[in-house]
Amino acid sequence: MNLLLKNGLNETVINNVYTYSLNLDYLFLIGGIMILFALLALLLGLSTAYFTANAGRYLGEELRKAEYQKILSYSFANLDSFRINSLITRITGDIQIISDAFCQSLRPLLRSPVQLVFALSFAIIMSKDLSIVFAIILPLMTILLFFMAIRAKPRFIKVQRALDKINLTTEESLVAIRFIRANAKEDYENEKFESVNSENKKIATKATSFIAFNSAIMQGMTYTCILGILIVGTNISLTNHDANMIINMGSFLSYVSQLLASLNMISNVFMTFSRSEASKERIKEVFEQTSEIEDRGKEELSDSSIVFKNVSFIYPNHSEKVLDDISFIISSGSFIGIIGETGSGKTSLVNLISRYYEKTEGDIFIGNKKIEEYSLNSLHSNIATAFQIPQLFKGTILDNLKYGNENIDEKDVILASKIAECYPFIMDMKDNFNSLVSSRGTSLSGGQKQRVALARALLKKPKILILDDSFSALDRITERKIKDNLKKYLSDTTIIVISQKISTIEDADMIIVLDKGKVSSIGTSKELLEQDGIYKSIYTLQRKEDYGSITK
Amino acid sequence: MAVSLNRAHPQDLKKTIFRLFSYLKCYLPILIIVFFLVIYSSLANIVGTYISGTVIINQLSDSLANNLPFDVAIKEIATSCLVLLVIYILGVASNILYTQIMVRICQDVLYRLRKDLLLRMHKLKISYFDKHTNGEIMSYYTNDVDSIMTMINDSLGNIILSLCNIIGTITCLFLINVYLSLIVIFFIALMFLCMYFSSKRAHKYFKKQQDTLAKINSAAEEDLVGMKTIKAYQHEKISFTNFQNLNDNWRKDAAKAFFFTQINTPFFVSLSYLNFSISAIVGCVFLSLNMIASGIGGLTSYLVFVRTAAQPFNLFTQHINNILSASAGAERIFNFLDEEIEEDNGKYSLIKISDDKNSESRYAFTDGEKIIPLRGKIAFEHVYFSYVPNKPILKDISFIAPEHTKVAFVGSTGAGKTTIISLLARFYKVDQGRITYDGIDIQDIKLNSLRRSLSLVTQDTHLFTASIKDNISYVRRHSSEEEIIEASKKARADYFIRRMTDKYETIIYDDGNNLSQGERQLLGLARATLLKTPLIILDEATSNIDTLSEKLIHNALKDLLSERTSIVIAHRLSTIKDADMIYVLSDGKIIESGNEKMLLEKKGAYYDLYTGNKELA
Repeated sequence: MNLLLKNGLNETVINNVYTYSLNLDYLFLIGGIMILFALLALLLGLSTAYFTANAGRYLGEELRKAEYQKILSYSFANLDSFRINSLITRITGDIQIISDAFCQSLRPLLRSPVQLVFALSFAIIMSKDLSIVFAIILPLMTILLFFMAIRAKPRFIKVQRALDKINLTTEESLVAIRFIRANAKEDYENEKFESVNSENKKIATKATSFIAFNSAIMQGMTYTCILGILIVGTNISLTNHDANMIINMGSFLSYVSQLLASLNMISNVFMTFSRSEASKERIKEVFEQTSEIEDRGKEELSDSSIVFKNVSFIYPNHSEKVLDDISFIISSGSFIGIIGETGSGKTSLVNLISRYYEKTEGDIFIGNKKIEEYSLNSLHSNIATAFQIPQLFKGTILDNLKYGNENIDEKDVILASKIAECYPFIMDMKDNFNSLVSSRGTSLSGGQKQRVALARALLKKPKILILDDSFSALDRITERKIKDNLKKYLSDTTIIVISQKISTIEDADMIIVLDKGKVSSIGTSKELLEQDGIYKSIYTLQRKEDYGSITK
Repeated sequence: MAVSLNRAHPQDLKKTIFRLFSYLKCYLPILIIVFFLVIYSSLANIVGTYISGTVIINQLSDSLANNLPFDVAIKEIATSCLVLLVIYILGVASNILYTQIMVRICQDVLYRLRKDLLLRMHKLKISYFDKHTNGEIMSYYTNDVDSIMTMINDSLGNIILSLCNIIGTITCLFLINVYLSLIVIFFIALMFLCMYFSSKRAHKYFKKQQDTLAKINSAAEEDLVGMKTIKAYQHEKISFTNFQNLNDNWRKDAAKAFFFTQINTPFFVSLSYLNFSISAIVGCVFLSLNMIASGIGGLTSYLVFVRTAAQPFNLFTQHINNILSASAGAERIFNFLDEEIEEDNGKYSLIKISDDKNSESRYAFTDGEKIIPLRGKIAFEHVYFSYVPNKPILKDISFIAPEHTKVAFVGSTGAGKTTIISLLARFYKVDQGRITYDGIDIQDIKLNSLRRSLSLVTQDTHLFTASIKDNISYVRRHSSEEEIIEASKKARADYFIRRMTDKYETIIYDDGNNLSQGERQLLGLARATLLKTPLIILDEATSNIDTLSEKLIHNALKDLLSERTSIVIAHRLSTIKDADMIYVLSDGKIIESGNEKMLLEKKGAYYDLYTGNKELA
């Protein structure tokens, strides 16, 4: 609007100058109004800048927030379907691109159509004959623009994918930086990156050089328009001896530049959008994943007996059965051991209990109710799993212990860390519970990480405690102590321990031996030793070594 | 705050932009061509407008006025149109040429920046990585490099164009009327001033925006890696709040950054209208006083120039956004590139002295004169070390590991076991004393050579997105398939690899998340088996291998360590019981040493550990 006003006022002043009007009062009045409008324009312009900046950035913030929340709602299977490095770009760089595109395009997007309509209407009013040129060029231009935008999108999707690879390579380099140094493999890493980097350069050059043609096309179209007007105009004026046409041509040519300037702006917006389109698509993929686990149950978990009835499991998008027809009964408060070779399905089995993954066939009951009848929240808060790879976070030891429930009593923290036998080494540290843990817990040893993760699981005060190979990095004495503590303090809790060590589970109330996804045998250690099965062969082998090493 | 702004940023901005331009130096000849192409492209526009608007229209009205026959008139006009066509075609061609050149230069600069980043990253001191998260560093490669793209791609050409236009218009103004042009100069100065101040603020917020983006990257990385734990422990709310806080900061900084670049446009538009109004009013007054030589015609063309004078500024403001965003990203990148690197002034390097596989030492250290065959003898001489000044981690550590012996370290967490190894690999530099490898101070050995002459196996086996085979041969890339399989068999990794879908060709993703800790360690041992260095260091290398497999690899490990010097850290005393020498570390000092038998007889600290009176970590 202010644009039109100013144009009008300028005309007035210029006209005044043209008519040589020397009425100074009038001159100053007009001049004053112009200055006033200039100030108004400033105000409007500043508000435009303010609102555009905020709108675009709020858009980015909200998108990122929604994306993060979406990822939080993912099931484990959803999480498995994305590579982490790709998700990182989707939540940082991709959002930045979209927000930037919005900020940069909003003003021209609103402004140029208005300009376009005004310029076009003036042109048509002035001369219908000359407007024919626009009637041909404009649709052509629109088609070209759309064509380019459509063709540009897949190119930019490739660019973002190449960026994912850069992310992947740098992340892997960073995680393994000490390993790379120790092996003097910097040159190899540089070489590896070189191929990813030059690939990215190639793909990005392709994509950006494609849309760079946009500016040449717009210029070419403008020139074609000018030539078209000249040819049509000349023809008409010469054949009809029409002098008016010549004047029309003059003003027409000046409209052309205005018209095409606004079209140029629109085309730039188009190209910005087609670049951000790739990012939009990638963010959409994140939103399109939905958890296959339905959370319809309302029951609260109270009893901790577990029943598996003919349960089979296939990982989503896989074909082979990881678990095949598993059945067993665990009574509340018992201590259960699961043993079996790597890949026999131990971890998959326990992950089904908390509904981290959805079983494919059969039924699982907790406290005589199907697990689907419980709310996910109730399942997750009453079943604590200490995962095989203990994941610690940047922060203090205390932050990591309290993880997930901030309102924990200090007494509980101390008790849990005593049960998990991490109290002594925490007390050995300089700042005790406030000692800092680095990202991924790299500052702690494997055994320490396992014990902190165990204490963290205990602090959830679970009804069912699942320890997935949580003693693997502990020495025999510490393991013994922890197990005694668990029996003493958690007598009501059902404890399921996965291990490859007989010594860890031999005193369990029941041992489930898994073999290639099937239950090979179930029973106490004594019962299992009477059979001539896998358990016995592992037992004999491990006993031999134990007696050979510790009790000399 | 304003004071610190004034002091800190303009120089930084200038320095950053200059350094960024130094990346363009090598394209100078091409850039000169681009420069002329840009000028031509804009000239084509101006000349074209002149021909179409003035020449052809005049020809047309002349021929109408003179009643020229159609054939004659059209011939003259057609010639002009033809000239116009040629100018236009060349104009479009030069546009295509320079935009395509710029695209390529741009991507090449980004490529070089990334390359420099990685080169530098692999040279930085290890302590840098103790202080910065992975996500933070990754942000340089993506978000910061990305922020530079638009500037080189679009803005560079346009800036050249605007500067030429500004200079051209000002010259024309001066030629028409000196006094009147002072008004214009005044306003242009105002515009520059306005640009200067807003840019300074915008730069600050752009920098903040990139910093926050790096923090978001870092948080996203940590959260995504631990997402399953977050969900299992219902930490969603807290993780979300922390993430949202960063996200909120980003929004505020990014909005301010964009706002401060965008305020230029309305200021410039308003200033140029004020300029125009005042010029027009003063011009009319001058005219009435007969102070303009060329009269009313002069004033009108003067005013047209005044209007056009604003246009290049408008164009310029649109690109300030890009320049500032680029300089914020570039500043961060350059800061990273200026981080301290590892010291490496050794004069000894590793050379091959024999091709015979059975030869005692196939490699040697040499400083150009002396040739010292590699044997793997390590000695620490009164070594002191601290990560933070005045908080010593190691105090007066002295020991010798003669060739082909097994030396073990035990002690509780924080006793300094792993630090000893870090010093040996020269991740950190000793404060006092010295460490020797075959009698040479390790400071005098080239880093690369030192590290290639030892193999270090830690409790974390790092796996890369590649096949199992490539992961094993990572440490010795020219290993044959047979060697890889043989090494895996020795490390007892073969049996589980064969059970995988594609066996040795199975691709590992996400740092081998689908492998158990024990399997990973077996792969780590397979790697070490493949390497044939005279010195091997095991830092809790078998801590996660289950007892079943450990029994199996026990003999293999024995093979692996025989004929080599080994330094072993393990909490399982069974792993170290056959060591030639065991050192018990406590609080950075060696408190006991001897073989197992001697230590047990002593009934000291080791005995306590052995009998379980004291705990190991």
